[in-house]
Amino acid sequence: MDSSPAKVTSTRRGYWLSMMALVVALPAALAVQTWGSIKDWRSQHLRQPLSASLGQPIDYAGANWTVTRFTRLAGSAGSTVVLAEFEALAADPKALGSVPCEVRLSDGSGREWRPTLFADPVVRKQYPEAEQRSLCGGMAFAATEPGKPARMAASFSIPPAASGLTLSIALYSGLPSYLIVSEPRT
Amino acid sequence: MMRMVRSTLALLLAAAVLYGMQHTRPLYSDITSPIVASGGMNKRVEARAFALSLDSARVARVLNVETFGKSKTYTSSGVWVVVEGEAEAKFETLGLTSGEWLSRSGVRHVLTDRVPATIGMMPGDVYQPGLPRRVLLMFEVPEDAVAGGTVVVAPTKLLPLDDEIRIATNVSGKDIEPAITIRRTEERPPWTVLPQR
Repeated sequence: MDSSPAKVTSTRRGYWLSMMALVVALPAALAVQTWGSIKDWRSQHLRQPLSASLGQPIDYAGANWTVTRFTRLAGSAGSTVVLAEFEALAADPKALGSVPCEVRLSDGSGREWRPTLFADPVVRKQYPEAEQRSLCGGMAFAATEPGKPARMAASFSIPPAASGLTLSIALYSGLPSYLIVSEPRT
Repeated sequence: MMRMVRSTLALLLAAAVLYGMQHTRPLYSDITSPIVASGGMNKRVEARAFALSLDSARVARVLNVETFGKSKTYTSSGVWVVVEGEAEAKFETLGLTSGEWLSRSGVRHVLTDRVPATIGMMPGDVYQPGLPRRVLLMFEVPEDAVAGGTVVVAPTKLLPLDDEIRIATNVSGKDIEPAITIRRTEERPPWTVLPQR
């Protein structure tokens, strides 16, 4: 067995180089392995809001969006119905027809409501045209001719005391950015 | 010599640790099992995402369902358990799609699919934060599974580490009614359980 000082030094150097390489290689391997999950998590959790006000057009995800109505109505069983109507003018509406879209309503305390599947009778009675509109994305864009805005609507069932309401619209092709419009103060 | 003894001891220790870890390793189903919140009848039990309280659990041999004037009778070789309560989403809109009757012996009975969903039973409903709503759960179970049964409710059975609420009922298994009628109404909640108690 060769135990000359030169051989010992070379072995030690090799050992420490391997250890240092491990420090770099291990996190790199983890990062490569989990990159897809990290990207998914970022798109779900680290979202960047684009703020607009009621009636103000704003460019988002390849279309020009305007929230045209954001109103509260007295719903059934003591609930409050929030009706939001919005439209998007896209250069190529068909291209957005297959992009999933997510509409949410949140309040100041962090609670979040999804649109109701069937509109409350009060919407049917007071805004029958809104009830006929598509929710968001999909059909609304697919059925729209270029140059004409896709008109959409969402209604939410919330407790009357909920305050500080914010409507958010997220097209998956536009993430991590999403659109937010706050309830106008009366 | 000492070095050899030390190496042998280290090796034995490592083997013992590995053996211990192998035999105490939890199953994957244990690691990903639901996070359970438990309680009793007439108490609001809070899970992370939703809250549930049950105020009535009745047992009958025959179930009659009246929907808009039409009546249908459901018989069973076991019994029908009809449970009512109130559920509320806490932070975001959710559905409660899983309901089970857990017998004292550990057998799980899922919600019956014999009764039409038009009654407005729990799985078809959506729960909004701040808007509690009545829930109706119906199970068809063997008579010996009734006493000491527990109602288990969860948003879904598919997601790991999801919420689950377990409420121990006060059903004795002796107080079995001959028949219970569920009448569909236009009001809220959209059903009435008869005879009323």
